[in-house]
Amino acid sequence: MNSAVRRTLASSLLLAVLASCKDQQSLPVVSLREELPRLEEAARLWNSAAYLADAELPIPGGEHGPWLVSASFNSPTEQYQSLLVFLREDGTIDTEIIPHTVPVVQVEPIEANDWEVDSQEALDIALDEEGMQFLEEHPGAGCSSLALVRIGLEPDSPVVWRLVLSDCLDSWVGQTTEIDATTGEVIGRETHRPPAP
Amino acid sequence: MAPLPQADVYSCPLPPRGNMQLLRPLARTLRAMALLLAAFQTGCRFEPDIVPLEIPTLPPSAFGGSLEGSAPTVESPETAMMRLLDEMLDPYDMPLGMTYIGSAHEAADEVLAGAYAYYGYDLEELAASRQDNPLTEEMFRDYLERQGVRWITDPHTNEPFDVYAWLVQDRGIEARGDLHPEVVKQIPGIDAENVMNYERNYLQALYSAHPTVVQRVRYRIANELLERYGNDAAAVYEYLSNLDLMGTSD
Repeated sequence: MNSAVRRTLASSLLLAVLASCKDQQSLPVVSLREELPRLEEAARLWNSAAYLADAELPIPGGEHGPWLVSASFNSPTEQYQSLLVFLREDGTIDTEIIPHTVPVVQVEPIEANDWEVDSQEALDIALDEEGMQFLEEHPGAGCSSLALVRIGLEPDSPVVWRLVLSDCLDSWVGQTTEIDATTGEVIGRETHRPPAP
Repeated sequence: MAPLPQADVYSCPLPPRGNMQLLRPLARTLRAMALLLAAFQTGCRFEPDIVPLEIPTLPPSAFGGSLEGSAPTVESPETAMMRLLDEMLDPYDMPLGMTYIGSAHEAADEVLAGAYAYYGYDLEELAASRQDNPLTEEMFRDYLERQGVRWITDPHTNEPFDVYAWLVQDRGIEARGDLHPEVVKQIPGIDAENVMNYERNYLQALYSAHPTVVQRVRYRIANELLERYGNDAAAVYEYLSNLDLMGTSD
C-alpha cells in the first residue's frame, strides 16, 4: 500500500469517525473521580499524610496506553521522596517511590472540592474542533496526556485540566489546552513548534 | 555501528536513520488508525459482538546477540533500552559518543553557572517554582564581556573556544536530540519553546525539581516505542541508538 493510499484511508476513517461520533465522547478515559479513592488508599500505605499533587491519564489509555491513571503524591513529612501510583488496565494498582535529589516541592494539595469537571468531560471539552484538528494533523500523538494539576504554587491557585497532545519522537511539536477544572471553561491553548534556528 | 543494506521497510531488521524516515509515515498511519479505532469502538458504541480489528504493528526486528557500545553482553534488551533512555533523558549526556566530563561543554557550562551566580539566580528555586529560565543570550554575552571569559581553552584541543557562540549555536542542548521537550512540556508554567529552558544547568534543575514528570515521560516513551516495534526491546534500543547518535531533528 503506497503512501497516498494509506493517507487516503486514514483520512477517510477519521472523517467517518468525526461524522458519526458528533456530540459523543472523543476518546475514552476512566473517571478520575471514581478511581481516585483507590489511589489515595494506596498512597496512605506509603505515608499516612500523603496528599494528591497531580494526576494524569495517558491519551489514548487502555490497551494503547501504559496505564489508565497515574497519580503523584507528596507528604509534608517526606522531604526526599514522593510516590507515583499507577492504575493498570487490569485494575491492579502499582506504586513506585520516586527519590528526590533536592527537597520535594511541596504544593497545595488537590482536594476533592477543588475540581468538579471529571476527566472524560475535560477531555471532551479539550478535544473540540481545534483539538481534533491537531490530532488529525499529528496522528502519532502517542505521548499525549490529560493531567489534573494546580497551575500555580501560590495558595488557592486554580486547579486545571491540562491536555498535552504530543508525539513522543517529534516532541517539539504539540498542543497544550488548559481547562478550568471547576467551570470547564477553556482558559488557554498553545500550539508548540520547534524554535527558530 | 556498521551501515545496514537498504531493504524493504517490512524486512529491515534494524532500521537505520534513513529507513526510519520511510517508516515514519507508516507508523503514523497505523497510529492514526489505532486512535480512530479506539474512538470508533467506544465513542460510537459499536455492537459488542463485533470482533475488534487487529492493528498491525511493525514486524519485530532481529536481535543478534550482544549490544554495541558500553552495554555489557549480559544486559537484557529491556534493560539496555531503559538504560539508553535514561542516558538520553540525562541533561549532561552527550551525543556522538562524546564524554561530558573534561570536555569544552563542561567548561562552558561552568562559565554559565558563573553567570547565574552573577545575576543572583537560584536555579533550584526557579525550577521548583516552575519559572522559565530568566537568563537570556544577551545577558550571558554581557556577563562574558564584563568578566572577560568569553574565550576559554578547549581542554581536549587546547584551541580557543567561544562560549557565547557555543551557547547560541548549541544552546547547551541541541545536540541532545528531541526527548527533552517532552518533559518540559509537561511542567506547567514552563515554556517549551524557550530554548534557554534547555540550557543544561537549568534543565538539570528542572529535572531535579520534578522527577515524577521525568519518570512518567520515560515510561510513556518506552511504552510508545515498544508498541511501535511490536514489543521488541532490541529494535527499540537500536532505534534509540540512532537517535542518540544523530538526534531527531529532521
